[in-house]
Amino acid sequence: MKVLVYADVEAGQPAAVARELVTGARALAGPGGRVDLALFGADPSAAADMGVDRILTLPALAAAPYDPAAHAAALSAAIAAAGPDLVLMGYTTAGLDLGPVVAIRHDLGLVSYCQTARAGDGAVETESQIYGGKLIARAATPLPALLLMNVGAFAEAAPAPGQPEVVTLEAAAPQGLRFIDATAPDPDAVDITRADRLLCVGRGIGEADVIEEAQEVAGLMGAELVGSRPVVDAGWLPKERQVGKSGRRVKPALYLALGVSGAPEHIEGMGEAGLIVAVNTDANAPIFDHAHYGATVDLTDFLPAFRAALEGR
Amino acid sequence: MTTQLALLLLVAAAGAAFVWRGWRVLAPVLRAPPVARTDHPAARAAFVVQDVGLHRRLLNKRWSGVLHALIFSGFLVLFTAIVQSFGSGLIPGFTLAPIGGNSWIALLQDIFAVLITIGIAMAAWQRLFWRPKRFAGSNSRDAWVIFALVMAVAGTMLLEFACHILATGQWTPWRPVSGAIARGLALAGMGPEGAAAAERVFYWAHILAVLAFLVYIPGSKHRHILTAIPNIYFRNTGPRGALPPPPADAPGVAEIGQFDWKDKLDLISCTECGRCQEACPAYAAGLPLSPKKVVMDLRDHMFARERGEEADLPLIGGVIAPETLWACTTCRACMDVCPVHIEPMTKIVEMRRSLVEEGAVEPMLQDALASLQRNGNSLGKPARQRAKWTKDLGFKIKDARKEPVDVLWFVGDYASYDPRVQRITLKVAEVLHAAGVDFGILYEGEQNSGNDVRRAGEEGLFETLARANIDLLDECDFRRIMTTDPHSLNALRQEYRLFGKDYEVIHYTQLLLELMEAGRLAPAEAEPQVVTYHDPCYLGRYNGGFDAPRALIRRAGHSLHEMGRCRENSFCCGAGGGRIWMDDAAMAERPSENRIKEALALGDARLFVVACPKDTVMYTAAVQALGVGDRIAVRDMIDLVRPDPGVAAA
Repeated sequence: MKVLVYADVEAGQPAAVARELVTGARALAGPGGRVDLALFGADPSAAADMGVDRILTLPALAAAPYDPAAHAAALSAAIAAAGPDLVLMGYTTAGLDLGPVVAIRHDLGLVSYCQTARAGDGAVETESQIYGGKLIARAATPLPALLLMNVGAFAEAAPAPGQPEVVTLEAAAPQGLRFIDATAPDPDAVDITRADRLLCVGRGIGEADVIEEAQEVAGLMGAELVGSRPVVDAGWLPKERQVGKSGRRVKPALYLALGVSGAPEHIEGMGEAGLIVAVNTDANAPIFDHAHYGATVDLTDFLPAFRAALEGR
Repeated sequence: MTTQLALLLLVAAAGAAFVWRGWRVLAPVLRAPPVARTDHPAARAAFVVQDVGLHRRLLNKRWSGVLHALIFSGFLVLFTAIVQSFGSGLIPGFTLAPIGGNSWIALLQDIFAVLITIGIAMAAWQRLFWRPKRFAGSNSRDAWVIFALVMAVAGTMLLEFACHILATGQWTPWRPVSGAIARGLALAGMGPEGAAAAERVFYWAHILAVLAFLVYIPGSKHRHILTAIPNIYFRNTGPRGALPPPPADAPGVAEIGQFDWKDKLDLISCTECGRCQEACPAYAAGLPLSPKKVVMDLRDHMFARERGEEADLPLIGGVIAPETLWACTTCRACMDVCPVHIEPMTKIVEMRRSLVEEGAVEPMLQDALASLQRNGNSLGKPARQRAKWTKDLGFKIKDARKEPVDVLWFVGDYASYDPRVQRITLKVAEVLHAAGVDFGILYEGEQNSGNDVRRAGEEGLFETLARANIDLLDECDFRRIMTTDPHSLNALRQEYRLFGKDYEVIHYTQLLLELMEAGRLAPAEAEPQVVTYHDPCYLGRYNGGFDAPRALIRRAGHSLHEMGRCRENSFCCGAGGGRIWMDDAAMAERPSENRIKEALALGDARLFVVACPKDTVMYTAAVQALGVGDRIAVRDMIDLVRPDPGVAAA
């Protein structure tokens, strides 16, 4: 079987998913089969060790920023040149962008969310995770076909040795999109939804300078510092650290809420945390309806004591 | 003869220019889709008398209203001078003398020329020194050109009369102002011959000023002198709380041509006075919405299309940004302050409808709409938990689906599900029960009334919700419906008429007042305090419920200190029109916080009394966000009363 893999590129190198797909492609192609790699956003030399038979490339795109129309045209040219039975792409931004376009253009059956893929008789058999992984959909799709594979579906294996042949494609550069700027994610930005422990401060902390103390305590307990809406409104914490309906929804193992009253909009954002501990001077604060443990202590007493306890560990 | 011919040519040329320019403005209005606005001629005419003749809305701003009245009345009187000038120039021997042109009309002309001057001076003063923020974004050059032209018309007239007196020696007590100017000119050394020459000059200057004004009007906001009367006459006389239906052939307005002729008459009638902008809570919050700018932008786009420009500019996303449309709280303040009865809000909803149709919906609103579709409530809660709050009661509320009730209580989403409001809901139930009211609820059968769903532009979902509620209500036996939520009240009372339903719907404040008057309720046991009261938009402006809450407050023994923005002029909390479901991160200041500050500025009000579940949510959060919980507390109406101990014991 002839398999064509489209390589996602990160920082001028084939992305990890591309190497996974090549491993999977080798197995699908079988002995005597051929694996081609469509590599557009990088120099072919970057993929010399990936163990593919041929690298299909378009020099004009090698150093250019990702342009979906240009990549769709190039991938289209690659399919025309290689005539694959099966095209593999990652279920990635580029895969979502380009997969449906080229599938329509070349009349390929398209299957998404694939977790496994096996060559059958004139068809490819797949298992897709649908409804957020709650159901597995099995499909047999006649060849030629295009599969969007989940990232991590194939384990990357050591590549077969060999020197790939480089094939230069030709494709007209599509007009219409103009690249203006690329913004890299802020390396300092936090994703509070991934943190295991969160220390949340609410309006009840009183003054802005308590934030600094809370920040230090959060550091000691290995937690990210987050806040409720009033705290973010007041400008004491940046918006990306806001928990709640109009902020982020979080589900950490530990959620320590200091001076948080527990408005329904806040609860909506953290109610499913594994362990909720609330500290508030107001014993009637609704947060106590949701907390596993609670204490009615003044924060000016609590913070130094808690800090001393953490430092004494 | 040459003079006559010259004047005739001038008038013909100016008239032609006026007609041509006027036609360009009017053409898109006359071409627009139909809408029926000719019923109730007497009521419409009466409104015109009130709002044009008596300046009802204009005088809500004292200074502007007075200066407008001065200029407006002066124009009517000066029209006689214009008739005189053109008549005498075109028809030999023409004079108004037989009907008083040299006596009482002359006197009125002199007096009103002075009043116009005072009016213009007041207007100029306001623009130069006070610079109200409502003028931000208006075309001020246009205003100054108009001031200059008006002064030219009035000034040349007085000077012409003065020179006439000086030239002919016909001093008359009927022209005190012109006479005084004539004496001034004489003192300055002008003789009868010089005056005769100057009279001709000022005559022509007057003619030219009038014609310049005529030619200028159609391209200026001053064309409202011609469009205001029809615009007020053809206003929407339908129920205030029922939105107009979408265009006949589309889900909403996505293209300027789809606005009906009255919408477009609105656009060409705007005077850019900015009263709507000043009243708009979204504008005050720093969101990218000014009702005035929406009207001006639509108008400019309409004219550009007429000129063959902006053909590729989309209405939504090009002329009007989606963020602008989503910013509206549908509080209706813009429509109610407009002196010429323009409707910015309904246009916004029309455009929202096409955004919804395209699926371009604000993300948090999308979540709420999805939940409404699935669960019948906006809060993402299971439908079967709607009546869970009743479990905390010491008695069972009647199930109105199963047995007849006198009062059917339509509880609403926030009152049913939000923990901050549930406390109030429970108390309402307890008070009604103790006061012996025969009432019931629809339990989990109730769904969101759809009031704000409709205002968010989701017509289809609104209809689904409304029909579900109506089907259920059809099976129930009740005398009247009660809500604590003004939004539900508005939908049930006004919007459900779309489906042929005319329920008697009352607000709980009205029922509480009835019970209080019948001696079945007593004031809550609390110290009398100074309180302030916030009029919910959908109770007050939309449904006229201004007095029952105030009467209740007084009967509860408290003294009411009104905020400046009260009753019809109330300032929206920011929750309406689906805004409560949307992100408010882009706001510089939330309307609710602005409002709490207004209440604090009263100095002595300790309680902020509300009569709407959404207000409880909004203002509780605002007080917390401002950290002023020690200075003012949000209280619901129900907190002011308790069952009368005698009745409760019995």
